[in-house]
Amino acid sequence: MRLADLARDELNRRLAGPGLAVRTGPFVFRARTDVDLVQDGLALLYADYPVLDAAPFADYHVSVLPSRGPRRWYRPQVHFALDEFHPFRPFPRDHALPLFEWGLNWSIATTVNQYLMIHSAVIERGGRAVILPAPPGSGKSTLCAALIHRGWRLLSDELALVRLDGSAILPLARPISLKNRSIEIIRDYLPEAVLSPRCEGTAKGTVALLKAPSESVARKQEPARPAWIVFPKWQAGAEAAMTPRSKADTFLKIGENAFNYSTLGRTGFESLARVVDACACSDFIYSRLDDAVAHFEALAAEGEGTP
Amino acid sequence: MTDMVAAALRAPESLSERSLEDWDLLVRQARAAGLLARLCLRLEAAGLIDRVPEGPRDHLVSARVLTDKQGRDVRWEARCVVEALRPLGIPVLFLKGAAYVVADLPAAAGRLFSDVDVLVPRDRIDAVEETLARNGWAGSDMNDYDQQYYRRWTHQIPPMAHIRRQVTLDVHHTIVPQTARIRLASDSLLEAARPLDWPRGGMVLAPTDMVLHSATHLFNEGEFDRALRDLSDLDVLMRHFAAADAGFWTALVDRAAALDLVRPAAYALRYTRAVFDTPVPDDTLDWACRGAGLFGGRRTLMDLLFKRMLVPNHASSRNPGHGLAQWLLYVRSHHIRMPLHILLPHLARKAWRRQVGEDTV
Amino acid sequence: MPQRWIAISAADLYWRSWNDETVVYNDLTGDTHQLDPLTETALRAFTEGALDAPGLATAMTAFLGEDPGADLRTWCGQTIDRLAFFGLIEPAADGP
Repeated sequence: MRLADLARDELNRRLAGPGLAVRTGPFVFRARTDVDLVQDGLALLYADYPVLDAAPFADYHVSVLPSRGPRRWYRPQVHFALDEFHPFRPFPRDHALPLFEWGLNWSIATTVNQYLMIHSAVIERGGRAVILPAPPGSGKSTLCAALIHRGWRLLSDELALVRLDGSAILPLARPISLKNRSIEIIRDYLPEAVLSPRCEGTAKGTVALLKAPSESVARKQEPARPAWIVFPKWQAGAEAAMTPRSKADTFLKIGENAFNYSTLGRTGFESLARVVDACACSDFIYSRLDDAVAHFEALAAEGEGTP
Repeated sequence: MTDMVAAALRAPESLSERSLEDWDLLVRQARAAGLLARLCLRLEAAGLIDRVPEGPRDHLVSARVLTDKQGRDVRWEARCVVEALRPLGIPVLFLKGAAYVVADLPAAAGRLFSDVDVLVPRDRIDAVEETLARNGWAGSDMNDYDQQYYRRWTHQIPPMAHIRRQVTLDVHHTIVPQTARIRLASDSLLEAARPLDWPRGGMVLAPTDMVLHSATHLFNEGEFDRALRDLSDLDVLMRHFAAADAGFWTALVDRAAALDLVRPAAYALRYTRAVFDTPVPDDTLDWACRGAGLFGGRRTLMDLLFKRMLVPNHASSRNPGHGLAQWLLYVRSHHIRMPLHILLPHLARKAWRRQVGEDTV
Repeated sequence: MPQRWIAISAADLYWRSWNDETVVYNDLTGDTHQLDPLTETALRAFTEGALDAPGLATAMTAFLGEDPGADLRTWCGQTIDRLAFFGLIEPAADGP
């Protein structure tokens, strides 16, 4: 059953009561919340995700609940919990939906070592994956959002789950967090995209969440093989250009920004080395999304037909 | 309310019959207790890990991988500390978790570490702090009150961390606070300490002293967030030492008497046996309990208090009266550590700062 | 007699090379380093056996096929400091 098949009051009943069990990628989370912003957000963004009626085991028991105390009357706050642990200070109630997403990302990023977790977006075409690692502000999420509406499948926007033998990346299609200017850019570029209400004044500025395309969510069982690593960089007025970059430097950059590369020790080294071995590595500078789409088309055409 | 974790560690083979619902709670309890990785190691050692369903197994193994990494970091930090302090020509004694790592003890495996604890001679503490600072260790942000409190009333200088690494280093200069009624003869501990092969120049406490220190820490400090994990450490340590040396149990109680630590020793023996089936001989336990006055009404009371604390730090494993027991033991620990006149302002100020801290963010 | 140095155990070093670039992972520190061809050659020389700074200079001269003179000796000193700082080499025990 998909979340969209649940009646709204049943959805809210589960969220406010025993919890709603949802599968995303290889993980099951059981969410509890009586905050309407999160309930509405889940109904909108997670409509295509499988809901489990009987989920005896959940990987993550997460909740976003109102904080108690006198401030709830004049400046209401909410807090995120993984089981009984509160990793963050309370957030203003208005930020409840992004808080839920960050909390779930945090839960995965701090507990998973059965995969190498690279901090990057991942998209796929013809079974081959492009890894798009990038620091915040590089326009990675904007580029990823555009490409997954132009022929590429979303595997993940934040967390690349790489099998420890380096052979494949698992899908973890989740909503994409768009910040500040990229919200307008994507609204203009992709009128068909589904976006959550804007949430102003968060630690990351204004945030809106973009619903993952239904097809990407549906193909949750199909891993992809790493084929390219592309470091994107948006630069005003730049002509789009893809230039090869050093493999050793790519290795170090990805390792530094991976969530658990150093935790995995030599296993992490071997996994990442296999990924870098298998990938063509480049830098990509662009200013216009149409140019980017064209360059990635060309990438996908490279070596087409080879298995 | 049930503690599934101790039962699982006692009898990992019983886990093959567990349902997924059981695993759901067990994983959460074990994570809250800080024992998920140790449980994984038990299952791996018994060849049972592959029989655990995939969901819980991923969490068990991931937790174990994290403790492997922390053990690696602690080992390297220990080496760096010894190298940095080598010019001072002083003994550098590792304590608690770091000691288990550098001494290659089974209690290190599957254990999470929050810091590296070292003990140095008290008269060289200034030189140690200065040498570490020159070699890249920096003190943590702390206000003047806390700085003063640390230096005067605890047994350590404020925590430091190397700028390139994230490991917290706690430098102690005697094992319990200077003000404690129970006074450890640090000279005697240092005399009995064992030099390490690696890092050369490092030392750890003798087996009996390591157990007594761990027991003192658990039963006198008044902090029980990781109480079940600490009790499990004691279980693993004592099993290991007793297996290597048949005279260990006798040596332990003799040493406890010599150091005036019979009470924490008696608690350690009584509760490891009760919770983890540690093979403590009857006569050892009787002797320690008699020496500690742990019988009759006192034993009933301490059982009531400690047994509430020696469970996973998770709501599903707590019994009624948990909060009260915690408060009583907290106050008791400060009574042991500090004279009352300094204790009261300290507690009051801490409580005040907690209040302010919560309200300002 | 100058200090002699030796690479940490080969079991703690993991290597990967692409063209003339190399990365090495040190399992004692958990750190990964990128090595240029000269530094890689120096580290590999220390995996063969203990060397002091003049010994490293000799090994590097053999690799380069010529002796660049004082520059090389300065470089050897700095490289030893760097490799030791990152825990890739350690002081060798006394003796031959």
